Amino acid sequence: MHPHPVVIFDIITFLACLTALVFLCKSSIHAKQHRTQLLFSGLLVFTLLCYSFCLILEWSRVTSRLDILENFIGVLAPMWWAFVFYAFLKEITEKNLRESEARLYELFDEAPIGYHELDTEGRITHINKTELKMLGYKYEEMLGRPVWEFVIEEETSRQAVIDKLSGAIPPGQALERTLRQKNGNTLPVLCEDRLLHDDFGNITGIRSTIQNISKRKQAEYDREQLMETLASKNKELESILYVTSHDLRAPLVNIQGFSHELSLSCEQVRSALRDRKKSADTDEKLQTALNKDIPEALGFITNSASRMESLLSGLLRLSRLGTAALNIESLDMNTLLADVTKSTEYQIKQAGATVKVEPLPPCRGDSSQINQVFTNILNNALKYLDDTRPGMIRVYAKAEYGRNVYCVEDNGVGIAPDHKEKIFEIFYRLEPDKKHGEGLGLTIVKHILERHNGNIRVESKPGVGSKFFISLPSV
Amino acid sequence: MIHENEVIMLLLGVGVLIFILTSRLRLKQIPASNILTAAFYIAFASWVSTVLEGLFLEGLFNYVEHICYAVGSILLAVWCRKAFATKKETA
Amino acid sequence: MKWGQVERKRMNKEGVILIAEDDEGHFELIKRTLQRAGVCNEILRFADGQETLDFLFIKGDGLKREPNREYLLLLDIRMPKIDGIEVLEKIKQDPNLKKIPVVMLTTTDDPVTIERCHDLGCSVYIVKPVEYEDFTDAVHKIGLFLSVVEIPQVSGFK
Repeated sequence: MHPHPVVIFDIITFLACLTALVFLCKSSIHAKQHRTQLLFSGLLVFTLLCYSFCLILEWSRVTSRLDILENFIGVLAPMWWAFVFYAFLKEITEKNLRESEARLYELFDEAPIGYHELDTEGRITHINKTELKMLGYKYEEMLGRPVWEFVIEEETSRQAVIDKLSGAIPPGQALERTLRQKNGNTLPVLCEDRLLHDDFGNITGIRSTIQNISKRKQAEYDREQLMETLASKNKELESILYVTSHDLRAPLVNIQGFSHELSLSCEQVRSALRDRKKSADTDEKLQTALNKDIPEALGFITNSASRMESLLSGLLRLSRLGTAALNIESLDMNTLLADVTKSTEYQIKQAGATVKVEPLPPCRGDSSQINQVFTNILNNALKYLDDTRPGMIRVYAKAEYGRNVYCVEDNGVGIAPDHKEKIFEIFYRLEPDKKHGEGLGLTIVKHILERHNGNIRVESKPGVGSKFFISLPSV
Repeated sequence: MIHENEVIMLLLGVGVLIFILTSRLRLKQIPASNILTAAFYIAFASWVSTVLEGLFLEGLFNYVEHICYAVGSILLAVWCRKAFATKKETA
Repeated sequence: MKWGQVERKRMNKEGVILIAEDDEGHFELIKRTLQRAGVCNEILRFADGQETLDFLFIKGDGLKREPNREYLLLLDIRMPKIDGIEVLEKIKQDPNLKKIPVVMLTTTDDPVTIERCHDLGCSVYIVKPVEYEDFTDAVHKIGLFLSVVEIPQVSGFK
């Protein structure tokens, strides 16, 4: 009996399976994954190998007793096919799931807002990268801790979480909270909660979104500050306007009044000249008018006019202060005070006073304007010295909360408590008849310091002396 | 003559065929999936021919059966090479 | 002229007119206005609130108030050291002094200041420059008549 022609195909089958097996063996050495798939593919190929071997033997008429074996092996084939497909499918499904989970987790982790999840005890079970970054902690440091440990309003937060978890209050509305960062700073946030349920409807936890509202809070705060500054500036402006308009009125009243007096005197002169009788009485009237009344009236008029002039120029100086450019630099206060004392040398000598300047720390400011500040204060100190004792003026400084406070202390006449606020008012003078000046010195000082983000404060006891505290930003 | 085992093989094959047809989209993600599925379809064809061989045209279907075995194995071999190749081997 | 006023006193020639006014020019103008109208009462000037109070409360080393003389006080509001409002306040608090008639002098009829004066008990004020008519009106309001009471009728001054 010679072999059936189909044997050729069986031999091809056999060889192909052998090759496949070789390939699989080669791959299985290197491959770390796909173990299951390789296994089932190998089993399939091996089964087909054995089957084809049996077929060769059968159809080449070598033997015909392999029926049972053939049948058994043959049935295995579709089974291995199924397993191969199944193994691949399982891996693919798992891979897809992993990818989808990873994508979802990335969304969660890198979201622009913070997310965290709490369990039924309020402990943190999940927390995303954004929130960790917000607070500056590591994942391990926050996992498992109760969430209220990171909130400044600890008690309120704890109570709220417990209430929500027990179903007592519904979550939902956005709450403003302050969180504690790792470095101790606070972070204002907006917090929204949602409850998590299991399939039976029981509450299993809370998921919260955390939004960083520090910028918004800062903007709100800045706006409030701005409104306050605006309100106070408005008040200041109004008071300047009020004071100035009143102070300008006074010389105007004189000008009007004495102009009228002038016209009356002219009437006197006219009537005296018209009077032909030329008596001693007429003469006297003429004399009084020309030598006393008219010059007096003119004197008042010109004085009042120049007073108005000086008031207006004082106002102009003050307004120019607001618009002059500030050249902020580090100032060596020792050289600055030396300049000031040198330029006021004459007044110091005249007043017979001694000025002592102790070592001063540097500050930040515009040199010519700060020079003006100290010149004005020094001039005031010299102006209001006490006659009964030699004048002693001392300048010293101390540091306070990131600023330098310079003090100009004198032993002059002092300032009564009700005048302490008024001295900074525009055109206010303590002793107008005794001392010269326009009452602008301290107003100018206050304006300059406000532009430098500094301020001035005065402590004084009448009869003892005064202390002016000038606060400026330190270097 | 129909043998029971051939029918069983065919039935099992039908089951696998249904499984493949319903998961076609996901199976596309298998490397070189067309070759593998082609190999299976040919294997299925051989099982069909084995059964039909017992009914009519015995000689023809016998040849078809054995040809299918051969072609299917060749495809399987090709697929094994392609599917499990490491990154270094694939171009 | 209201004859039906309850408190109608005649100010005799010995009554003193007190003028608290820091500006010399303003004081001169007022003085001349009054003198030209024929008011020949004595006029005393105080340059600021402190001097005024020292006089009225009999303190300090300046002039002192005499107990049995009649006074009329013209009080300027804006003065250095102690301003007119505070002087008014102190006067109205003292049982003896609150009977003294006070006329406030202001540069403008600023409603805030005027309300403050009202609250303190003075409702009579003159806006500078002091016109004679305003002065007599104010005096009438208080119910005082000066010795030369006919002068308002003889209008011809300003």
